[in-house]
Amino acid sequence: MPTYQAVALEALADGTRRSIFELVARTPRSVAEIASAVPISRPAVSQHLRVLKEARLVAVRPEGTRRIYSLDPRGLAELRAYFEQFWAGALSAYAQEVGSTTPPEEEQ
Amino acid sequence: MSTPIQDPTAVRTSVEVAAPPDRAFEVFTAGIDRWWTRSHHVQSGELDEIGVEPFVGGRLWERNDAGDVCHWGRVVVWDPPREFACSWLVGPDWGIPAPDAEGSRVTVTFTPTATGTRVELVHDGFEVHGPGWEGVRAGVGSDRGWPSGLRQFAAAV
Repeated sequence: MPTYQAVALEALADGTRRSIFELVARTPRSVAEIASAVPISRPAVSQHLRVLKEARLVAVRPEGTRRIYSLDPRGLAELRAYFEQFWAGALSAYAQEVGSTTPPEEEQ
Repeated sequence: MSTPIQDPTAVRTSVEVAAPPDRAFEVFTAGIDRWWTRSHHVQSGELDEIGVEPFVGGRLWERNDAGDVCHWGRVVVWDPPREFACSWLVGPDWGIPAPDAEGSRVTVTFTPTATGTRVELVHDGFEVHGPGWEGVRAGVGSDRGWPSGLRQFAAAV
């Protein structure tokens, strides 16, 4: 089962989804409002929103008869945490490599 | 000490190494295959070798055990021994990036210290910045602590 971090990365790798994400991050809005701002059909927008919601990048709340989509900061926090862990491990290994080999000039 | 405007959503991590900047730079770039986490590759099979072409526009590439090569980043700053930066095209769960994939950015700076070099890495531009990004900052920008692995390493040096 993929982690939420991987899901968030995958969700944002798609250009259309990224556009939708940026739209709702700017201003919470309904599916119809999103569909009028991107060149894809309303069902396609709904599909993208579902992926973004599963990745916890957007949240939805009812407002009268409409469902309003807005930013959910949890997915991004996880995305950031993923890269933080990744680079911490990578730099640690890097520093060990620097320390474990003797520079040529010091061998002489 | 003046601080440049920072994007709190960026990933920042750093480490001190007991070597001069030119060597620290060399190990980070030409020597990347010696320290790169072997499980982090985008092609199928096992990672055989990973490398960085040493010039602006150069590719970050990997070759698997079947001999297939692909690239998932490009050098955007090549300024030894001070700075190295590249685009980072790997998006979905370490899949092979599309040829037209947009990248986030990894910037590595090498600063001499009394005992060696301070290596600072910033990974930012996760393709989601824009007018709406301000709303996100409050949610994700609070944690500025050093990752524990780096702290342990610094203590051991």
